[in-house]
Amino acid sequence: MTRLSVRNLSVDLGGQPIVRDVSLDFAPGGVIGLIGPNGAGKSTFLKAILGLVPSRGEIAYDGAPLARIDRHALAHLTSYLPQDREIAWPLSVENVVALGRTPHLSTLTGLTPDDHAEIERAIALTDIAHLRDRIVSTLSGGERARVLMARVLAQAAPILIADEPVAALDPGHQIALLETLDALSSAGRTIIVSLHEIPLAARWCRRLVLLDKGSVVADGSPEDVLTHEHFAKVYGVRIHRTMTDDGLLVQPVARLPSLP
Amino acid sequence: MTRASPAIAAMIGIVAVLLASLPLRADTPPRRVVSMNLCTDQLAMLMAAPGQLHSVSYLARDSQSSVMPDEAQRFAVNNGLAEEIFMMHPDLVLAGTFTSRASVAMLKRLGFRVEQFPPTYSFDEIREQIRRMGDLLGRTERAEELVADLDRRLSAASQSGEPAWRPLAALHLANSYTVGSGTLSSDAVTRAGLENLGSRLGLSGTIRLPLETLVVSAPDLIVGGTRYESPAPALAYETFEHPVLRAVLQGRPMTAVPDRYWVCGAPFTAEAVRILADAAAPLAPRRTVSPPKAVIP
Amino acid sequence: MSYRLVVASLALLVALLFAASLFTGPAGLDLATSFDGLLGGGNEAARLVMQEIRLPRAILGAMIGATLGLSGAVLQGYLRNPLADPGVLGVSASASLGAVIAIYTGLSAAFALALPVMAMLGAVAAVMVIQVLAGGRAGTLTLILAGVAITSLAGATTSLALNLSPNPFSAMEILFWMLGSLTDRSMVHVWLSAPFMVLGWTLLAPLGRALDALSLGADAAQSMGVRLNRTQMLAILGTATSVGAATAVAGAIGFVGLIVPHLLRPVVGSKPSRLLLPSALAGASLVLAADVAVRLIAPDRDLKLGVLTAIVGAPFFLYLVIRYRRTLT
Repeated sequence: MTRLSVRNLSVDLGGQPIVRDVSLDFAPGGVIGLIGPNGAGKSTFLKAILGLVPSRGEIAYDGAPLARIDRHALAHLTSYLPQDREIAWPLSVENVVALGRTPHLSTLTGLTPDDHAEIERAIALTDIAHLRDRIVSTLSGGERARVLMARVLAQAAPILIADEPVAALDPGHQIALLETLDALSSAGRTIIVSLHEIPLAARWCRRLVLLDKGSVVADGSPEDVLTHEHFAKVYGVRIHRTMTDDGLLVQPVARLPSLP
Repeated sequence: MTRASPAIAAMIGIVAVLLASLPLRADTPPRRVVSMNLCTDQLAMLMAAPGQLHSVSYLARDSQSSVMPDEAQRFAVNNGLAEEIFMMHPDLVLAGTFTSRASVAMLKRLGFRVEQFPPTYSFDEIREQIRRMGDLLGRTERAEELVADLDRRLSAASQSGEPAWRPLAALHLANSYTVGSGTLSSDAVTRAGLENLGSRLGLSGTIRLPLETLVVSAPDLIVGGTRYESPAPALAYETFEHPVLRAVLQGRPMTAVPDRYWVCGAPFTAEAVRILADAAAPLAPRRTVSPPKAVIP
Repeated sequence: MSYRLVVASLALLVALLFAASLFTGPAGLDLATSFDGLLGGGNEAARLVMQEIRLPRAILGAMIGATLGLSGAVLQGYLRNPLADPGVLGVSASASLGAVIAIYTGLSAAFALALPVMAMLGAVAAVMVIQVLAGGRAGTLTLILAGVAITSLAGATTSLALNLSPNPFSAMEILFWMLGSLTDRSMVHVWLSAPFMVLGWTLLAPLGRALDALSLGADAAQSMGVRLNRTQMLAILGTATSVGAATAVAGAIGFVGLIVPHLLRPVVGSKPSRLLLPSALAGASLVLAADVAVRLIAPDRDLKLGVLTAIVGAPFFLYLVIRYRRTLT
């Protein structure tokens, strides 16, 4: 219920190729981080595997092709946190988190005790219990980001896909969220996140996929992917890299003179 | 010449001026008359000497508005515009009091003699207007002929004396308008031996009567106006189809009095009286209903 | 206030105003006579007035109000925009155009159903244009401008058609189409429009869940299982059917769909699904109240319903613009 395989995926937007012939497999067992420069195609790739943008190639969930899975069934398999943190109405935090249960609701009934349990779990995991009755439009950027993450967690889907989930969070909450995601992946879920925060990626992702200009440049453990060559070639930066008792520490430190 | 001659000259001058300012009567009837208004068109057509009337308005040719559309073909047509009437060089222009003020004012400024006829609100006024037209056109004998004709047709159409029972007639025009007292239609209704609902309710002039009030008054007759529905319909007549009107009439048809008979007051207005009297003839008094409250306009 | 209490109170309000509408009118009938007449007994004239004039008027007032309130709530939820409303977006004006074409070409005289159908086609055209111009990511400004453009075009074409009609009354009837009126509507009008309004409601009512999910954006909603195409189809067809039929018999009554959800958000919360039923009930109340008011203010004239809704609604619209101006893009 948790394996996703992608073969020869290509996506064009506005006539421009954004994702070029990417083939990857995803499975549980550690947070999978998607990294790469701005415009590398990370967001587009994530949308494509969810069928939110048209694409060419094969996408299969546990062997079943995406094209044959209807929206409702897909919502039971996957949950998605978009980069766009839009909330159109001044809803309460609890209501927003409860929206995550949408795929599980039957036509006429409201929230069941199971639904409430998932909602509470999600609220606890993102540390927003004290904000429960607040209106989301009154929250800070970071608090709102945690609320939206809770919504995704409440959906309790086996595959969780998040586009830059830690961007607005303070260090404490960044680490807390990544710990949560790591625990979920150990418990059997497939977790794919895209992120820019290299030190966090180094420390918390068990596998990294480096994208540049729509193609996979590297795919492997942080030690294998976060190398000086890759950073020089893809980002044009010099890094400082050491292994410590707390794990791999990687920090970009300076720009290199412009690439050929 | 004596010392008195300047005085005599002055007196002759004064008398001459007085004589000159007297209205022209039978000695110099107008020779080229143009009429800009449907009602003056029709009166003029009925009364003018051959060759005297030169032009009538375009409405005179419209069979829904005019009683004499074929007759009107014999005259030049005008659209009521000062320019075109100017080009016709009339010596008398006939217009209504509601004719475009700008056009009438322009014609007066250009030096034309314009005589305006207000709408008629009773048969007495019709007689007055016939006679006035006769004076203006120098056709007083013809005027008396028409008045006599009108009186004859009226007495043939209506009953003499007070009828035993007056059926209640509700006039229902486009947009739910009705006519109250002080109108030509109301006078016609009364002469036909009917009672006008609008008058009974204390309304005057042409005014809106809510459908509900009409229904509650339980009229014996509903008189509908002409529908200008061909070639194009309008919402103004939607109430004519309202099921409630059919129910009030209990299967009898609405009485149709074509507008053209009483929009203008003329001898042919007696035709409206005849139609109404004919429609009233077969009616018998119904069970009484509580009288409606007077509607304050 | 609990949700159930709100719904119950609104339902009671509708019932009271429905009764008020039944018992208001120029015929001057007292309560007992009116009641008898309504049930078919007593005075024949009273029966006719109550069953053939007052009853259809009250029914239409309630149903049209419910339509406008419901479609306003759905449009606001679907477009994620607090200024959406069938009138503002030009749906009512386009429906009027369709109806005018049906009537003044004589089509509806030949086939009575041509009237609601043409009005619905007009409404569909408007909603589709709105969807193309402003669906998805477009901001408030684009949406409102699209609505202004559609309303202007539909209004101008309607005026043209009416002025070109050879019938002398047509030119003045523009007032009915632009402002709306329930005067002297008969049961025929009810049968022509009610089935389509109810059909529209059945298409709009199930959209609650989808609208809730759409609060988080189209992508998030889809990821939660919302089928956007189906949602769009239901929203478009439901709005066009119900608003089209309502406009066909009563002209364009504005601002109801705009005001009602705003008045209710502080009471039931902003969740779109919770606003649907209360908006329908509150819309019915608003139109019934306005219809009673026009008969009390000017009993002998045909004061247009839209005048009253505009007097209340237009300042409210202005207030909304001021309040939301910072979010206008």
